[in-house]
Amino acid sequence: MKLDNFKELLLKKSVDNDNLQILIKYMRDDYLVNHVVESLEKMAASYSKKNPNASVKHFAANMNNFKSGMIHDALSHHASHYKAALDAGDNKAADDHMRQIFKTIHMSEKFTKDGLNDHSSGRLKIDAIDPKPWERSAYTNKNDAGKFKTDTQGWKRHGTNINYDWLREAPHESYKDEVSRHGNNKAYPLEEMKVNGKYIDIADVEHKQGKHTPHPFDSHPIFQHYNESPNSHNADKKAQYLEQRETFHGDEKGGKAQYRDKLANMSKEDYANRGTEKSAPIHKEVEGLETQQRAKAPQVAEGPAGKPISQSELQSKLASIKAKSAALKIRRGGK
Amino acid sequence: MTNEELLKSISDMLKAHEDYLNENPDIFLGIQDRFLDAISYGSEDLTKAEDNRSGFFSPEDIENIKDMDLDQAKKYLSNRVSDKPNAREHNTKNALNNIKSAQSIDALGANLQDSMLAYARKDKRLPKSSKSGYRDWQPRDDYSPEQQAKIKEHMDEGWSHREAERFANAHQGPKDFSSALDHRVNPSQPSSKMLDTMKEYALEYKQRANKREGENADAGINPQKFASHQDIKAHEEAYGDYDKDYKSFLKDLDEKDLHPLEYDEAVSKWQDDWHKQNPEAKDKMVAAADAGKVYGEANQARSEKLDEGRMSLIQGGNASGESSTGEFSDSASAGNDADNSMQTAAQMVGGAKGEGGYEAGTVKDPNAIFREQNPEFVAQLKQKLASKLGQNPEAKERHDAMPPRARMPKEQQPGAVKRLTPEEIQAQYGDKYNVKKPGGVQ
Repeated sequence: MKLDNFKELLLKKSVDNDNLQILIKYMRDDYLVNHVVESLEKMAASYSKKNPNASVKHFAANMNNFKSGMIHDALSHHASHYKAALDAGDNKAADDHMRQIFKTIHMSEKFTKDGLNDHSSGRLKIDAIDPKPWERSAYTNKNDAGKFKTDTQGWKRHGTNINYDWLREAPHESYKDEVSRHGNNKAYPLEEMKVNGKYIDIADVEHKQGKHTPHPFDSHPIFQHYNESPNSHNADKKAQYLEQRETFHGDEKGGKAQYRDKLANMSKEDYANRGTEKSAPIHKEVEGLETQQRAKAPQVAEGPAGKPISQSELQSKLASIKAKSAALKIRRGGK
Repeated sequence: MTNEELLKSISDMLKAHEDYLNENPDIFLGIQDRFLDAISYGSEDLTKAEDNRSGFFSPEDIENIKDMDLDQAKKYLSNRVSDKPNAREHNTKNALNNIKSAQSIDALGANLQDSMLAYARKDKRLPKSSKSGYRDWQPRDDYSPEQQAKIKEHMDEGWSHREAERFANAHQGPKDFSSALDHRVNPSQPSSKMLDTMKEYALEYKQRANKREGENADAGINPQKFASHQDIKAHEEAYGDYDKDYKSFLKDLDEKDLHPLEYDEAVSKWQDDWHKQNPEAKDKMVAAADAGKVYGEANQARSEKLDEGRMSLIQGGNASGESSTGEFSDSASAGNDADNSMQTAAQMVGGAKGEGGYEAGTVKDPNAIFREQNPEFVAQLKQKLASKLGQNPEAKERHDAMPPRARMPKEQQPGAVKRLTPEEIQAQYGDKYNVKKPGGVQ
């Protein structure tokens, strides 16, 4: 694209601001480019916040099937308790469990995003539908320019006072295209979540009113450190993380010991069979967001007799009738 | 009225006049022609695709001409060619010549076999095609049952219809060079599954390219890329041997199909042993965390570079030299008192005498042009920079060389509203405004 065209785009965008228009119109090209690049670099700078710090990289580098199994178990645990709390009408407890799910996936995204620079070398892959279309329903205020005031954060939205009512509703209409792509236009499909190709195992568990039941993995020190930027997470903090990690792994009452106790009663087959089948939907049926049905490719023609006639057969019959008709005319001496 | 109802009423009408139509077959043929035309018109979009493939004649035509004499057959076939007005002229001409030159019914039949090949239409050949004649891919409608089953199987796995067709060996491309030249089907959007599959192959190359980009990144231009590379490099240097051995160990362990507890014990034991054999590794791993500081340093370097650029924009030609024209010599800038002739002055500034007199070859400072055109922006920039001063002595020095207006604190600049202290408000307005003194209850 020529810079003139780019300038025109900027001028169109700044139609409500005369000063801005004049500035864009007369600004020297290289300064304009510098400012645009500067803005883009700011965006890139915010991307750096998503980069994993040294502790996350250490956690990822030590990933193995036992750990990924622990994360699968933690997500399954929180999803099961979330469902039980919802059924009991205890939304606050349900939100606590959902918050931990968000936190866990947010942490795992730090080192598995897009499969590029996957520090776990592919040993942890969480497939979950992006919650942003549902999140948008809770933050719909717009500014004068018609833009949403609050950005969606996806899995990053796990603050202490967040309630996740929006997951129980249909997604927001501004995400129609995305929703029509994956087809989940009702309440958030938590049951679709997979860890290393296995669905999370949502079981029927007992819920005690107002009580949050933690999973052993929740006490892993990575949750205290994963959200720090690489810039602020220095060697001292890494050393602190490794120390805490020793406690988690080595202590008799540490998180790992608790999880091992849980596994002690489970056979190898039972462990392997978890999540081979998708659980029933967690959320209640709600009216779905209306999305445009994408044009489907024509169905493969049905061949055998008795089935609907195909277009080619129809055309063939039509051609045959036409030929017979023409032959009849010729025989009768017509044109 | 639905199609079924329409057909039924036509059928009823024909039955009601069955005897008359048997006696007057021309009328029946006329009705039939109209009916066929109506069907063709209604399904024009559908038939166009078929027309492209079927050519001028159908297999029935060969059967039909068998019991005709040569002239009748030629006339019949010529009419069939005329029924295809959208065919290209040279195709039509060739077909008519072939009919005309045939010496027997058998020869005519043989010619028909050739003419049944597809001909090209002179108008848009298919609906939804672009101006260039390219169109979207559509599945064929004559798959065999085996092909259908295979296609369905692949589609259930997540492949697109077009990909599944290829995997099922049901694809039919152009048959010869001529039709290949005429083949205009757009590429299709790959399925997510295809993209995921391709990603596995592409990942290694992409990572290699990223690494090379990082190695060549300039901290002053793209600090994020530079810092990210330094960070990852430090991690790789600290964890390189560990990663390699650990991956190899896990690969062997995965094949053993252990209970998760046994698996965990094996991993813990291996890690303990490895660290005993490499006692210095842990310190290296901890120290690698400090590489994250590169982010802050690179950002700071970039920020300083940008400030310098802004400063040169504000100061322009005043950046060096004592005279008003900056880096030009006193003579060139007419800074000394000695008078120069026009010719001498022109030579000094790179000018020459042209048709319209002396023309200077110098270009006006672009920063100065910008300052003239964007005074408000420059004023804002000066204020912004003034607030950042004090941290950098060089910047402070440059700041001192700035025009006084930009050096003033915001509240002292012309047009700024002075903020009164509670005492001043009290003295000026008395008790008109209930002013609370900070830090206490009145």
